[in-house]
Amino acid sequence: MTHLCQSCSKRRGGALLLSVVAVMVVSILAAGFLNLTLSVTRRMNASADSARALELAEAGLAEAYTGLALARTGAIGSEAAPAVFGDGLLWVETIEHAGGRVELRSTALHGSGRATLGLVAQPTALGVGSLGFFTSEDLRLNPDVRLDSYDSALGTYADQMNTALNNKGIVGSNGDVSVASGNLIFGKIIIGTLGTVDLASGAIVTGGTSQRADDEVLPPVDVPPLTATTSLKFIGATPKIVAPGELAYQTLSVGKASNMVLTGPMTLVVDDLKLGLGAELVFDTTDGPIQLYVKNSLDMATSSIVSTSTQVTSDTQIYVSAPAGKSVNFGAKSQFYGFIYAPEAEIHISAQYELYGGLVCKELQLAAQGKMHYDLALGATLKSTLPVLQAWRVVEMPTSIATVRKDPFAVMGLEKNALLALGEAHADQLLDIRYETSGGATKSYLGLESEFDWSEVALLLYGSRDGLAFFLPDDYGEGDIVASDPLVDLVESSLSSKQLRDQLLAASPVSSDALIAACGRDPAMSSSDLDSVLDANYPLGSDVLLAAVASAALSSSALKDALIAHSPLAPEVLDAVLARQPPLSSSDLSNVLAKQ
Amino acid sequence: MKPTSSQRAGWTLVELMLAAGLTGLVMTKAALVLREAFGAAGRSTAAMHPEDQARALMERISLAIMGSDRDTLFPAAESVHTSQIRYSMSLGLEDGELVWSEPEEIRLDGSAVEWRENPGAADERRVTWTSLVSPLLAGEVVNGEDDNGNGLVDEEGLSFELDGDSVHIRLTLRRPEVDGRTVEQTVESVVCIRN
Repeated sequence: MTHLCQSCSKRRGGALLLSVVAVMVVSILAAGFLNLTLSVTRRMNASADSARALELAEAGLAEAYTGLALARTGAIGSEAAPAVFGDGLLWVETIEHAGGRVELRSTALHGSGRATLGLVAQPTALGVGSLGFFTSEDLRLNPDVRLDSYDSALGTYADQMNTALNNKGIVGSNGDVSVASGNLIFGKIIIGTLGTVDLASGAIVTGGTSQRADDEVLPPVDVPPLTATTSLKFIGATPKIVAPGELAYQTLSVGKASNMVLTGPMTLVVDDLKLGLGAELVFDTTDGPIQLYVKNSLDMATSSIVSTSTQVTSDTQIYVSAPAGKSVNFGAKSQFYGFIYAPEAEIHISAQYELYGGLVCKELQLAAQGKMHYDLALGATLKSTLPVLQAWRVVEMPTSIATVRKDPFAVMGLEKNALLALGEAHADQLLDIRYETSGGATKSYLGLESEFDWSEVALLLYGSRDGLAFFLPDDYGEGDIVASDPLVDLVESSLSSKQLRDQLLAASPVSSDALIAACGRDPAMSSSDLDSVLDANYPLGSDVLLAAVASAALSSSALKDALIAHSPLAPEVLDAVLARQPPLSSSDLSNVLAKQ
Repeated sequence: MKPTSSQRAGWTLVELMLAAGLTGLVMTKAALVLREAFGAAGRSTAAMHPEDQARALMERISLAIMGSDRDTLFPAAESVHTSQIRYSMSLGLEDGELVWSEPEEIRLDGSAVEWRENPGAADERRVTWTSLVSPLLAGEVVNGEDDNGNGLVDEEGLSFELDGDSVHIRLTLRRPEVDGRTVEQTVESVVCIRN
């Protein structure tokens, strides 16, 4: 045994040496691979963090951008108290510029990734389709124009004449409005914040006048990026059919006595549009809408014709981006169902260009006796509350943020759980809302939004932030139109008896409400004028006959004729006749009774 | 019989040779393993650099194009690819008005990607972003055919293809290594023009 141990001790160390060598080799290999793996991981993380930071910054911009549409300021969190989203941090700063433009800057940090993006937006409080007939400059109407309304979603204009829907026109401006003699405005006038109304004698405005809380900012026309390389100048005996699609022309002209049909769906961009004498331009929107963008000038000769294949006003839209000073002349003969938007142009519309839809422009020259009928459905179809995005860019981020590429929570000393989520980190504002709870109760709240519990709201009825509405009921702004029938307002206006007779005769047959109002008018119509109006609206209902019997305006003889014409009378009418003060003459009463 | 001390000490020649041979074998093997491992690590690291460079360059080009104004983009023609693109990009608002940059250009010049401000003008400013661009995109040969199946014919190492408001960017970097090998890295991206 001793021998063996002595032998072992002499060879001790050989295996150890080999083991050490092997361990060293394996260790070096392991260290090398670990280093390589760490390097790859760091590299991949850095790349992923960079991409995630960019996406976070985009998310911040998107949240702020949509916030602007809801009357929020756009600011989200701050560098001291950023919002948390995913595993990153972000905040959005806003800078308000003249003209209402808002610049948003979204800074995001994720791992080692950093990104700052900027966006310029132009908030729009109302969709331009809701503005009715609107000019951003002063509006001066020529004599004898008629501006009223209808709802294309509920029927044709003809069906809605002299109904409540005919009495909801909107004539607006950011400045003054001058209403000339003979103007009939069935609806209301909304002037600018500093504007005034000049109402000439003989002009009628059924819905009164109000002042807008803020002047409207008209967003610029967003012309599609289509490049025009050629012109289309058509002259021919057979109609020229322009196929659907996205098209651009330098000049689009339809020559003398020629006919061109634009077929939807179509987006057409032209520098200049010209219709010659007797030329006809048809907007065929049977298969889809047509958006026509005019970048420079538009000129429709007096004897030209423009028509639309359907009466859907949102299907035909004309956008004019031409600056002021360029000729924009709608001189054609037309019953045009569509929407015209020209925020920088002065628009000339002839009396024979009858517009059904809406018109928003900088300045308007509507010829005497012109007619425009605002389509109430346009407000819903063209409403766009999203701000107009004007520019996006990558912003150089502050050095203090860019240089330290470590976990942002550690760098900024923030606790993730103590931070607000992206959607909850909007800047606090004064919230004014009216709402229904889940129990059906109607409540209102006025105070800081941070102190309001939105879970109480089952149905929002009205909402504003810092005085700027973000949710309005459908009938908002219609409260000051009191009459259901524009002719009732006409009866109650200051027109003379003769003027009123002429207007009512021209509008006959008129509603029972208008006839009843005419019978009870103060000051009263003359007996002959009232008799003429009643006579033109035979047969009369019992309610109208009752009003006629009660009217002191009708002479005994005129009333007798009306009663005999409607005999035998209903018992309540007969009772009213017998009780009338002053009574009918005995001979007239005898004649009436003889017919029963 | 007790063994003498000379018998107990030392190794036989056979034992020595065997031990030396085995040790040498183990050491040689270990050296080979180390060499192979370091070689693999080196190759991997070498491949990373062009990929990093390609991705960084792609991000730079992408962000420039994303922030550009679509109306100023040139060439504006779709369905043709090009190795240079000119644009103006948003600089934000100044005194309430939108400000756009002077014309800028990203172009392939030989094997270099250059960014130029006011290209062709007297006050032109240029910066070389990389000098490692392959003459042709990976898999492509100058033969009038689409060799790499991406729909483009004989495209260069940097190519831009416009499709509506989107730009398809393709880039191949090629870097010679000290051991004579060439590392090639291709990246591509589709970005949407935001303005």
